[in-house]
Amino acid sequence: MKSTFRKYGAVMKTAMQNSTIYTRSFIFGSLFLGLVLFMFLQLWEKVAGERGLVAGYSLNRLLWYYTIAEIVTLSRSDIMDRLNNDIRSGDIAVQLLRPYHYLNSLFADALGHLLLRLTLNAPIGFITALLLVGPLEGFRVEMVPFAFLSILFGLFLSVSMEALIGLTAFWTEDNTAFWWISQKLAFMLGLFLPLEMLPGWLQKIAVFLPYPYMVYAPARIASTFTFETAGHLLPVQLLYGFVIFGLAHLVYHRGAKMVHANGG
Amino acid sequence: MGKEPRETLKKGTETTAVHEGKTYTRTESLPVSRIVADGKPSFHTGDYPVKNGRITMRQNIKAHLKMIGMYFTTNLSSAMEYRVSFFTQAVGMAINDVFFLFFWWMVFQQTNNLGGYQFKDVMSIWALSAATFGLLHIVFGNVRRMNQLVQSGEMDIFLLQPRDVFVHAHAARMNFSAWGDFVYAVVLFFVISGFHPLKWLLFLLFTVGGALLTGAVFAIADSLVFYWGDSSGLTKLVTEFMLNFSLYPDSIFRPGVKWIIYTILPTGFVVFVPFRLMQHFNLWTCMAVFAVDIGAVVLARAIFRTGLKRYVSGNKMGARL
Repeated sequence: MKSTFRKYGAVMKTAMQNSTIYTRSFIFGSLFLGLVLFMFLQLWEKVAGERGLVAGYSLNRLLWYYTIAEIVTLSRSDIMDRLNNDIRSGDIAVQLLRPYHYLNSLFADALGHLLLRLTLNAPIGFITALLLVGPLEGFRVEMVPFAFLSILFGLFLSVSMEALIGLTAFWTEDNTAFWWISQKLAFMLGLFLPLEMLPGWLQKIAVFLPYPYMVYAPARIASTFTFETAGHLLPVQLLYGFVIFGLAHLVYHRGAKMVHANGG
Repeated sequence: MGKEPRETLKKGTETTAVHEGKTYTRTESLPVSRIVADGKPSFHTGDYPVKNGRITMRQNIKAHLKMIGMYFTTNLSSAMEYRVSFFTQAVGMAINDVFFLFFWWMVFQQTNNLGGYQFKDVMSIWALSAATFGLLHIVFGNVRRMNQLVQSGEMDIFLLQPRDVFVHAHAARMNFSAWGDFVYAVVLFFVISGFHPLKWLLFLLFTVGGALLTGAVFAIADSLVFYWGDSSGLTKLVTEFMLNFSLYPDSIFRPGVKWIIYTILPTGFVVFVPFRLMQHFNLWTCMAVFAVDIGAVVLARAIFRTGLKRYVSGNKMGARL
């Protein structure tokens, strides 16, 4: 068990070290985060008008909601691209020979990338939000660990979903459309629209889907914290994370049986 | 292997050849070095007989339009070879766009007026924006890919051929998913406007003009690859800014942003001015928009060609099938 953790820990560490060399990409990513928050602020400022409230969120809380939501969304891994490339090119046959579990190593690599991106994106997001609307209203120190945990659970769920879609490359010629649709579901059920903005009937359906637990849950916990909300959202996030992770493993085992290698 | 005999031609050098009774003349637009085989230079001017020893601008434009048309049909035939992939990408992109329709519908549940814009107006902006973006990537599918072409040495292919490198390199590929954007935009515009001939004519003209202008801005950002070695990050950022600024009504923007959208990132001339012109037509403003579109393309081509002089071939061997 200890050696397993050490092995995948090493993969994660290498991924983090590799990511640090892409300074330029990081700078442009930060500028993008700033742009998106600025656009959202301008839009919702206009929508809120003199009321200053949208679906129960004040402008301050709404912008902090978007900040957390964007930080989680922009900390995207490349696990789907890696799976697509390896499966289509046949490189997976070589990867299967290595002394570790292929899919788990990709997860470790993805989490390494994600943690680094999160560490870099978070301060940029917080500074932008501070400059645009000031500190979060009703901020309490005790909410920090809950918000942090929720962000991690959200990222784990997102990576698992990306892996699940990437693994469809075993059967499909092109799976980018699946990714777009899945991504947009996460956007509409959390990133662009907090669940409170959706009509009642849609909210009732949305809570049974995994998508709100990727972005909505951490953003909601961080922007309008109560112990009750955290206690309700965190376990569901974790549950969905493991369900999709398990599903990805199941699909992987079925797909890996189809790999045929000829020659050497 | 011995060195191939070469000769260097200065800019403006004219070479004449007679083939099947017709005289062909090529005037070099850039200094070039070319291979001389068996004492005769390799030579090609295209299919156009010349008047007074020169290809006229009209003939040149016609030749380039013909080339774009041929690339369009070839790329479309190629897409049909992989039709499952083609339709998956196009339909996926269209569904992707439909999600944003839902977003704006939800926004207008919170308010019924966004700085003078109604839901239908925002959808018109979306139709224009998706149509320009779609058309640009269908016809000039290599736009935003110059970094890749330059870094991998694939630009060599276009340097050796007798068409303008700027136009040729951009038109050589088709982005299949862009069909989803384009078809979505056309359907959306039909739903919003019905069949109103003048509006459709303007929509099509502004789509073409907007695609040229957007492409010119991307090409300028991409041309920095010749100086920086890698400008893909900047191109990506310019793309995001252009997209974001063209997908929200301009009434929400603060004054500083409005200044940007009418200068360095001219989405104002891609979406907002055309949108107003479709509501209240004015010939002079319309002409001004097209002048901006053409001016931007001329500027982008000039910047690209200046940068191209710094391009060094990696002698990549390859074949295009």
